[in-house]
Amino acid sequence: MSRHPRAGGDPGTLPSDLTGAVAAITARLVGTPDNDTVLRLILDVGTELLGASAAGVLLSRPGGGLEVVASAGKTRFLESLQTDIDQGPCVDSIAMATVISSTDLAEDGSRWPKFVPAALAAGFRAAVAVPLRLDGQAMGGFNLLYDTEMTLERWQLELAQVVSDLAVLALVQERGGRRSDRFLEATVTALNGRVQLGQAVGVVAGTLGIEPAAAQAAILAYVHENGRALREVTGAITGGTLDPAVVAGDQDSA
Amino acid sequence: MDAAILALRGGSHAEEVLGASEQGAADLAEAQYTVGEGPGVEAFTSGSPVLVPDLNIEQVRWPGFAQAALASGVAAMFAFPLQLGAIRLGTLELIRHSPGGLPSDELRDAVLAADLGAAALLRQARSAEAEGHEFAPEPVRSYQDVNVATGMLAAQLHIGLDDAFTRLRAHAYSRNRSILEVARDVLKRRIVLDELAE
Repeated sequence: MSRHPRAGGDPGTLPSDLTGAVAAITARLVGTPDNDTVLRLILDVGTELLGASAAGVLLSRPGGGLEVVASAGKTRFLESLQTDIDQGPCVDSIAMATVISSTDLAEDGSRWPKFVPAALAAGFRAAVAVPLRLDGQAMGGFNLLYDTEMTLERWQLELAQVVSDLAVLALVQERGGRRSDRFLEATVTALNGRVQLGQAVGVVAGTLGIEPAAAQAAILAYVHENGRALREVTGAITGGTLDPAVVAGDQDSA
Repeated sequence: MDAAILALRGGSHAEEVLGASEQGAADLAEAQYTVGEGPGVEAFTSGSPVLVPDLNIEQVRWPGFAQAALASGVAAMFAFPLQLGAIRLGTLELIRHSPGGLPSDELRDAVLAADLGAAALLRQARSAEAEGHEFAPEPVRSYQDVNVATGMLAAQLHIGLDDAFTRLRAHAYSRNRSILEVARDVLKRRIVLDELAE
């Protein structure tokens, strides 16, 4: 029985609607969902798809300690983590920026001498802490507590990591305005910027009858000499508002 | 699965192949880019997975791509958009050499893999910013020569960039060549412009 314990959402077997659920996660994030929606969704994944009895998103406080920003299920013990306990899977997970799990807390009493008795007293037998990573550091953790012994399968850990990344997005959005959107946009913008540079190089090379390498050098020199943004210059060249002869001429005089 | 492609996509001509499990997969990605159609293109534009258990019966849907893919031994293809929130970054495309559908557990894994791919790209973009430089992943196949050739043709033939790109594409397709090869010929001036002037 302890191999595949039945917690809230039957974690030992694959929920038949997992694909739909993951698609729903993405669908609920289309547009500009507010933070509460994203956090609620993450907790739903914890208590439903990952079968936890309690799930919480905790953030490190700048001065030390933890802050519970969202929780679901039997949350009293989770809430107590932010005031009473300075050790446990969550604390270790944040410190090491890696997933920490205890499949049977009773076996891990020496690892966390204060945390384990408190968790057992609150009725929990297993715990999983997934780091919320930003810029390579853990800013907090997505925490799952189970009232039976529990081993998450690989896909479940991957799912936990994916929703943790979503949590980071949601939280960064709240704290840093449109920062996370910018990260996403940056990948697309950078790609389009490279395409535009290539086309601009071609336009200059084709117009002046020079080699692409020389054309690229001329564009970069023009950008440098005039203190303009590369993207602005390549856009002007491909848009026909900047004469390639001017770009190359500038390089000659430089 | 026999092969996989991870493509970064920005728009109709903006694409880079970030990962390909083998040379053949990168070639297939390029075949798709050359003709401008296929499961990956459709998954990106629609934002939904495009599941093709048997390419043979999709020859009407993507005439150019299906022909090239079947000729290279691809029988089934499954494409998933990489997206987080409203922003779409590219596609994960899975390839099989024998026809057949995707069982639900594999479909689940694929959707998760696509989400992980999107999250990984996001992580890269973040660390690029943290280190103070622009996000510029190393593509396994870059179409930058196509972009340069597009600009060059546009200037030489006095046509728009879109028109120039379309001519490159049409030339490659009609001669059963890859668009990168044609682009490199244009850059090396091995192709007479009249050939592309229609």
